[in-house]
Amino acid sequence: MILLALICLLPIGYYFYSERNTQDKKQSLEDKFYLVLPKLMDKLSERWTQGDIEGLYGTDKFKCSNLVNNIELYDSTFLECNPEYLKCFFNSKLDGVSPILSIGEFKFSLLSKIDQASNGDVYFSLIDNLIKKKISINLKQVCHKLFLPKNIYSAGPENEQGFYWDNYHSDIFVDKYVVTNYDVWLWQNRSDVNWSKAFYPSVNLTMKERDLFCQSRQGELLESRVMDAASFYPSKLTENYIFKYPFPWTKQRNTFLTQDIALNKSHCEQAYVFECKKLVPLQVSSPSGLSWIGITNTIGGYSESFKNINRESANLKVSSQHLSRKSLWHRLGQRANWKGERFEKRDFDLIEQYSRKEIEREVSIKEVAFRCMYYR
Amino acid sequence: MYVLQIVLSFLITVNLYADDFSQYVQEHWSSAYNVEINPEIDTSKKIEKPKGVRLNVLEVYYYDSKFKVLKDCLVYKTPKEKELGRLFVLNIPYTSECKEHLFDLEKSKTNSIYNFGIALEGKRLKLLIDTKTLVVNLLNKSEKTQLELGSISHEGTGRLGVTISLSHGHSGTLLDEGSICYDVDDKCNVVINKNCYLCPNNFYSVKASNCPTDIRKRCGLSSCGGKGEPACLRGVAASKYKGNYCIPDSPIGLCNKGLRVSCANAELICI
Repeated sequence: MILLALICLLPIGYYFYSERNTQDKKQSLEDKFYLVLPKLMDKLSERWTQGDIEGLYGTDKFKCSNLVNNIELYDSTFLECNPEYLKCFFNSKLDGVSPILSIGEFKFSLLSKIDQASNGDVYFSLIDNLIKKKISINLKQVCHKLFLPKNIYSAGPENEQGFYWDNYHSDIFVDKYVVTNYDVWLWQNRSDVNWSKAFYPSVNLTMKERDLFCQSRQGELLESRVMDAASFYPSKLTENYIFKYPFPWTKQRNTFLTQDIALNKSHCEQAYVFECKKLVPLQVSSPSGLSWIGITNTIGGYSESFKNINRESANLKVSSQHLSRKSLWHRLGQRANWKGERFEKRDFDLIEQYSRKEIEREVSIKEVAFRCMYYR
Repeated sequence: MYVLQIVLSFLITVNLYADDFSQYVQEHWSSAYNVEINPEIDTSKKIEKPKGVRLNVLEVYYYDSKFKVLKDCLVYKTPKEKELGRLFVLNIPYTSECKEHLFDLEKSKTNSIYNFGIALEGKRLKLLIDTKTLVVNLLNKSEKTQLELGSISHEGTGRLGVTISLSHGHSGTLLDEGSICYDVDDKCNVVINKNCYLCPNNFYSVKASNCPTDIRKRCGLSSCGGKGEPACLRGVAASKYKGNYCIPDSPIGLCNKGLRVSCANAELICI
């Protein structure tokens, strides 16, 4: 009887035994899977925010056709948080770099295409090789946003006092670079991308469109007072006065923009003015006109538009690469007026809007860039 | 008889491993960005009182596969005489309260519990169920509160720029346009702390308390200074004004030329 029971029960026992083994293995793999996910996120974050980790940009091993136009105009920072670079990575366009993310025994590969939302967010999914679980990924535009330290600031040019404001109530972030055509074309859902112009500043949207673009990125068009705060070297409000210095790289008032000294490449990094064109091309992702918090284009480079809540008409930085080094527009905080729709001569009022003084009226504005800021 | 016992023990073990409750919890809550334990629950000891009632233990906010938000409630039916404890998950609308849904349809459950406890240690949620501990890594949770995540390193995600979801469905929602997603009182205590990044478009700040270092945020396009819009802010320190913010022509606010700062429904606006 016992023997008969054993004969009957053994296959059942074996079935459950092997089933348990399979379940054990599956369970143990699942446990491991959840444990490796934080590492996967770290790897993705590193690739997204640092981009060219291997330093292949500018070499034969970098085969991203959309990103190699005018290579001398960019440095590798423009590959940070760049969806086109990520597509190259996952599509094996980087020689010697595996598009598979390996963590221990798990290998994660791309399951879907890489989608970009009009707000710049990137979406795709990955799958692992062992338990075949789908993971949805969302990458956000976190690069190139700079924090404005909390302080009391003064809006307007060097001699303007009184427009004091503070940012103790909110964290404020400012785009390091001006907005590119690529960003705008993505927002406009345009498919006819001209790659040779893609990463140049966007210079022909109306003022209203600029603000809508920034709203789509959960920000707003940069305020003139925030541009001033981010570019004037900071000082404390003492006896109702804040010292302001006209150039972002020095507290001196005499510089290569005021003196007849031989111009060199490092001057052009401080302010890319007309005379720099003979020395060095203006890099699109360049450090030119760098301020104390690290934003670019504060003097020289491209003219730029802002929203101004203290003086609505003072919404244009005139200083640009098209003005000679002697131009008095090359000073921080000075603003002219742009009507905000077209780019004809009559659409600009080139009187300094705070002082109402004439600085230099016969300048032609060829392009007006912009950037966003974020209250958090 | 002994063989039968072995077979039965296999059966029981297999049943334990095929635990859909653990699977549900791992698969959904790994994508959580926020977990709130019911403040009335003492997490230092096992949960057993009051006996035989449905207790809202935990609220979990996590992303669906389209990165919209879902909300789960973990409810524990505490044991009573001759009835063991039961743990179950409810999925409710993001803006609802768990306590209002305690008798809703259960999404996933586990029965016959003698002892149950809970612990939240940074980004790890531990469910202590009898002799087992279920650990969930909350992958999208930041150590900071959600609004502080607006810093460069954390734009709304647990790791720099990366959010992940293991959920299959996409039934999640966004916040309502115009709703308050973050708020503070006069003493700067945070009184509402939803994820403003889940506003459908954008969010904006509006002065609505005497707190000088923090501010209310609402879902909506960000614009200030225009007619009917929130007042732009000069700030408390820059204005040197020490009185109540909510007065006509409040020096803390700024409006476009020709408009005046006004206080309506406790918010500074331009009229």
